[in-house]
Amino acid sequence: VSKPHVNAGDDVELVARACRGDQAAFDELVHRHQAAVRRAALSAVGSPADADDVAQEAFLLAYQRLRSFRGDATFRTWMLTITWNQAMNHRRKFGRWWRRFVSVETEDGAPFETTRFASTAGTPEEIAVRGQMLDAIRDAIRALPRPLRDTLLLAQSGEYTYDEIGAMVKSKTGTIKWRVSEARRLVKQHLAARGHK
Amino acid sequence: MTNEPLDPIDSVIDDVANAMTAAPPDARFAMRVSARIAEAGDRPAPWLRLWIVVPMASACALALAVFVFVGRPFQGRQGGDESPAPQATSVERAAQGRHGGAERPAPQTARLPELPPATIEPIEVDRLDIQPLVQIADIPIGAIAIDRIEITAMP
Repeated sequence: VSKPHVNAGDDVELVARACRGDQAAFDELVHRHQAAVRRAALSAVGSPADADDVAQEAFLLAYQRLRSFRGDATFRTWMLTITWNQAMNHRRKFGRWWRRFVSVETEDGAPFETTRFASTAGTPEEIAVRGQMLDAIRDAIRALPRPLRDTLLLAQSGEYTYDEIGAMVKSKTGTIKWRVSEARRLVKQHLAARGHK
Repeated sequence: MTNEPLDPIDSVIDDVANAMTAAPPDARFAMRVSARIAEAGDRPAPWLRLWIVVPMASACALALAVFVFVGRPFQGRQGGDESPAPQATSVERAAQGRHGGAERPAPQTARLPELPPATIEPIEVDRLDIQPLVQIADIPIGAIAIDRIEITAMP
């Protein structure tokens, strides 16, 4: 699941410089971790615009609390935990996760999942069936209980290790693995109930 | 991930989940964060903001006013009482002697105003009429008229 990312030791040095008032050092930390932070926020709040707000708030909060970073965990894990907490606050505050997730679209206005998986291979009937199945999977993921949905989206984003996800959502690694497996099982159950194999 | 072999549908589920959180890179994101930090740095500390300072100052002024208003009559009584201090008891004199009490001011006690003796008027009651809670009426029971009782022989 994990992607190779920058050396955590370098992050500590950047944090130390940022604490001394070096703005460029913090900018470098933002540059390094923005992808992971934005994706975590998007997993939680669903809307890219809201996710950007959450990510910005998270970096701002991290900057203000930089002196409290003790290095017990990596800066990346610390940052992701702040992001997830901010995202949960946002979700509680606005309570529109579901509605926003439904409205997520690509720039050309088409539902992004359909565009991503659109394939011209096969007969028109096969293409239509495939599209229906992808829609059904997306609906099933949306309908999952939040802990399962959050975990599945974080895990399948490919950005985080199970340990990082566990630190974010405050659960043990074994629980994270179980949730991913359970989420898949429920999605397949949903598909089977709708005649998809 | 796990070492378990994946069901083919699992990989499709994973791909859809991945696509649901795919965020295109945003080159201006870092700049926006820098701007937010700069903006936050220019602003006063949260506790110095107007909508926090004004209510806090008002509350402090109100509390001070209440404190002064409540304390004034008590101080007036203490300051205006020109009656001589009561004589110290022998125990107090002994304590003053031990602790260099010659320099300590005599304790002042506020005198309570004298109240007239309380008189309690007796309560006069002429008579108490108590009505029964339940009145039972007579229940007439008529005789049961039986013309004849026929008893057949048992087999």
